[in-house]
Amino acid sequence: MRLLAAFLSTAIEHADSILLLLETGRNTGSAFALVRSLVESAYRGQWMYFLSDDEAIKKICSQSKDVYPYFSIMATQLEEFHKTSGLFTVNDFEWKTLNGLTHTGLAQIARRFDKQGNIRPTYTEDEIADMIRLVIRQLLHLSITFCAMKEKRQEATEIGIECNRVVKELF
Amino acid sequence: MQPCGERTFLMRSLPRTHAGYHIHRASVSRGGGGVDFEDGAFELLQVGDHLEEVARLRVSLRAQHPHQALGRLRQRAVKSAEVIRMQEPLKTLQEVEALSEQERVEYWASRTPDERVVAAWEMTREHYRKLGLWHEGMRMDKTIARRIVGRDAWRAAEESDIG
Repeated sequence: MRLLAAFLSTAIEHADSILLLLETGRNTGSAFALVRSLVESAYRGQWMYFLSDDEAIKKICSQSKDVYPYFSIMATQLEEFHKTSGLFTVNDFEWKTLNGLTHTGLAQIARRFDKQGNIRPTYTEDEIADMIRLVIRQLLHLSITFCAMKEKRQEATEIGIECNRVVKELF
Repeated sequence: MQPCGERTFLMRSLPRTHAGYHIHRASVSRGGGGVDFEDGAFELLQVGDHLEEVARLRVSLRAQHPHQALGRLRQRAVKSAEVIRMQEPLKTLQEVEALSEQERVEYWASRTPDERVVAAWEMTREHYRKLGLWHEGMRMDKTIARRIVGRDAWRAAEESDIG
């Protein structure tokens, strides 16, 4: 339980920091770079709590490698576990893009040029809005997990339905 | 939808001859951050020669799920109709919740993407407040999404509080 709380608090702090960076209007690249960390801490925490066994938790606590499944598998497992439809899905393409943003790959580099070839950040409003949507999705996941952690299974199910609705109607 | 061919850009390492390769190295050595560089700072990098190639590397960040792709089409349609519906006031979240599912879907479909993001944010924040997960020290205040997304558009909408 305390281990999950550590994952959740890390993820919420990342979400908070992403918004803080975006709000400045001058740190968008750094905000984008942090999104993968948010997604990873949210998914790993949930996978650890809901889907791992004692052996995996021992490995996590001993810094062993290869504890977590490949990201898309982890997402599918969480989707099935929560009986949601598309709320947890992050496909390989999106995941690789997030990696590129974090590790200064092409996803990040290609957004450092303007049309004249000057080196300056060129993240669009649409891209920023997409990132906020992704942050919101993570926060919605985490609220489901929070209720499950507090053994409020009924509330967690209701929140899952509500989250699906928000994503379907507003995204 | 992202053409499959573009996926490979993310998996391919940047060749040494590519402008981006040198730019990346230069940015690292100079501690380049999210700031604009002065004209000429990178003139030796011959960015212009490679600009088209680099522009193609601008891989979309957007999702490819079919239902999300449909959402994109809807977003574009709404954006083009934005001027027409500018006069319609925003409903409060409570008013939206009182609508039937069909009315709610139609209402959100008629709003701009920025308005929907802001509404999603404010719903999420309210959700966190009810669960006791939100606290004063966090940036997750009610209006932050408005301050980030579509700053100019929201300035006009400020008087119509959807919270």
